[in-house]
Amino acid sequence: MGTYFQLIRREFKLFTGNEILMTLFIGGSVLYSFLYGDIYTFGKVTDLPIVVVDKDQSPLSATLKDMLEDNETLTIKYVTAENVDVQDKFITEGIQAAVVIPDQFEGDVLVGRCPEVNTYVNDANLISSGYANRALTAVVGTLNAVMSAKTGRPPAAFQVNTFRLYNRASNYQTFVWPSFLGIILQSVIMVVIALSFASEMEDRTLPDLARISTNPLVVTFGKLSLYWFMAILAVCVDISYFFLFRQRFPLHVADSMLVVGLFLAALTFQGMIAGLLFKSKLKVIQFMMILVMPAYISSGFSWPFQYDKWPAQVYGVLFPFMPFINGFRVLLMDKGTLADIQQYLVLQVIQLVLYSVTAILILRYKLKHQSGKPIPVQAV
Amino acid sequence: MKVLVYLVKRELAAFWQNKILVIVFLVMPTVLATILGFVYFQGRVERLPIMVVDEDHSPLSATFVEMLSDDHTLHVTTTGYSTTDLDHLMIEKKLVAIVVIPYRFEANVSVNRHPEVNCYLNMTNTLTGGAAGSAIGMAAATLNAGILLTTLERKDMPVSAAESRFEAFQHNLFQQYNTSSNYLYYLWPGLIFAILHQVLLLATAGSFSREFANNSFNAAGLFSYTRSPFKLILVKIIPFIGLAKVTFAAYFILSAFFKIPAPVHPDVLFTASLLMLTSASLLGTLCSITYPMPLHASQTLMSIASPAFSLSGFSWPADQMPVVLRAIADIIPLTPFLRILRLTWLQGANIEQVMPLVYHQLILVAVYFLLTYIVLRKKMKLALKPLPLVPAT
Repeated sequence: MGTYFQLIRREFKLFTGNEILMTLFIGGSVLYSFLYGDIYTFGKVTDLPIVVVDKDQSPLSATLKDMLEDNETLTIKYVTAENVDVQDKFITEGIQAAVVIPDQFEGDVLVGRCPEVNTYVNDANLISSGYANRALTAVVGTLNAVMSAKTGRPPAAFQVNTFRLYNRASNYQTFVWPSFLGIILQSVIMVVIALSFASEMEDRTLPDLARISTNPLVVTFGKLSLYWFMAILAVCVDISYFFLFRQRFPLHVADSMLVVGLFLAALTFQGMIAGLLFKSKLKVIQFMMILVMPAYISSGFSWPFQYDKWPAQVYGVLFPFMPFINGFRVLLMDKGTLADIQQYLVLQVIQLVLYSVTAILILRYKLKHQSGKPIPVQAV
Repeated sequence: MKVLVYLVKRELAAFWQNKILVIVFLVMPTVLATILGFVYFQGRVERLPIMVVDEDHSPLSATFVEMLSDDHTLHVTTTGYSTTDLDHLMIEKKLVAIVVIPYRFEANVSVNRHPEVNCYLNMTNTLTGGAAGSAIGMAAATLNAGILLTTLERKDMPVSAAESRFEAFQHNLFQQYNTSSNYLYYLWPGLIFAILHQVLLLATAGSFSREFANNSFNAAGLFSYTRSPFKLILVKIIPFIGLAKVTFAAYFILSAFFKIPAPVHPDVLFTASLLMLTSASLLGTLCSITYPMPLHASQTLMSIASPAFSLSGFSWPADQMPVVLRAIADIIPLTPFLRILRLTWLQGANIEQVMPLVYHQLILVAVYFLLTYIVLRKKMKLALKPLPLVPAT
């Protein structure tokens, strides 16, 4: 037990003495989570600029324009009488959609000649185009229904009611929020632990460790305990962000904590492997940082994992983020329980066992083979 | 000129020393771009699992179920006959939607009593939820129109006249630029250039800090070749811009492999990418002079590069973000480039249409160059100052 505390004290000194670790840990987990929360503050897209080409200039076309302006997702930036240069405005001014009201619109509606309203939606960005599509369909559909009823047409044969479950407002912040916290935790904790082990290799302090204990298990737990404790602190900060950004909190707290715990544990061992293999702090930073984004994309958080082609699936499965985020989302959004996410839990446990055994074996090898070697004397 | 060539060679030799950096800079962008391409390989979500609860069991409800399963976005995995335990089923079977056809659906339609079909969408993932929602809506609208037309036809109305009978006017919605809402076209180009931007910052982070670390930032080392800050900056960034252009070429081959339509004006894209690479490598060099330790420089640059993609507005629109974040995004070299990338690659913009963004890029290049020049000259003066002679004792 004494050696264990000695190791923790040593690790704490190393951590506080290294400003890179400190800034990474505090800046990474505290500030970045805040930054990402801010990006999606509004959660939904509002006031997308559109153009209305009103060739009719009638009371009915004015009603349609009013309705479009009243919709919170849309705002009319230009009203023109002719369909000139609209294509160009899509590109130069970032117009999201153009609504073309034909000549004789009102007249045709009244005599039952069924005119056509054309809308062109800029689909270059699928997020804003999705919101625009929905808003335009709703607004034009409403006017259509009103006019159909007024002109004595039969209403639809049956009605479809759509209920959006789990994220009723299609709030984008609610959707991406847990995944950003997860990916920030993953990158910060993995890199910090990798840096800690890499600096032992770089400064050739492994013999010091071997002198305290040659048992790789004791060394591993001695070095990792501090980071586990700090990871818990980071999770507490993240929990406070749930309240700060007014996000819903998981219903089954104990289940969620288990999933988070497995995730953090697997991460620490993965970081330990990277640190022991790269042996240099600079190389750790250079290599690990670029892995983060593809790990996020292939995890199946937004684009479903089962629709990835196999090379992307293989890449995703390597990272603890994939089973964590898919399982945690069921717990958080669907209010599910552990029974609903069995396959992700199994994957988490497999990752944990695999990475911890590999990490401890590598450490055992390094402790044996490096501690025996004398420290090379620097040439003067 | 000879000196310049020699210095570029020296730079490349130093780059080659760090094998991890070589892998990260030359191999990883292409490998990761391939992996990301495979993520969105299908481009569209297909065969999303849905469940139909058919409480009616009639020919009409069977037609509706068939229409739903014919839609290639949807896949009817389960058919139930009662609405018990639907909440649980949705989670357990990972259903994206549940459609409930009510009891006496056909009968009510026949006597004009407007039955209601309920559709529950799983919005945990807004992407799949939205796709399933529009597919189901489309199927329902088609069936609705079909029923109405048949009804009107039975009343001896010709089809052509009947078509204009059930709606006051018709609404056509055209999706421009990415007509099939393909996710590969939408996200992949931005993601791969974000990676290139990141590795370029990493590579240039070492440019001057390596000289500090090797103790060659002095008259005997680097300055024995040239003392012009301008030449030194050029020497430090040219090799990396050249190598990054190789990756750029690899991206083009990859985009052909993933069958992404080629840009209409590749010259605009080429120019814009050159400006992005220049300003990014200048930013990296600036950090590298400011922080004498390579590790510090890399760390600072990574903290800029990691959120760059999300901040750029490539997926979540920039004008929906708080003003402060928009200002931060504007000084990152990736931001204007990604905007040009989307306009030229997807929307076929020409050079005049993206001119304001090109000016934005030029300003970034000028500002980063000036800052680098000033800081480098200051550090050079310090390094070249003759050491005060220590009086012999």
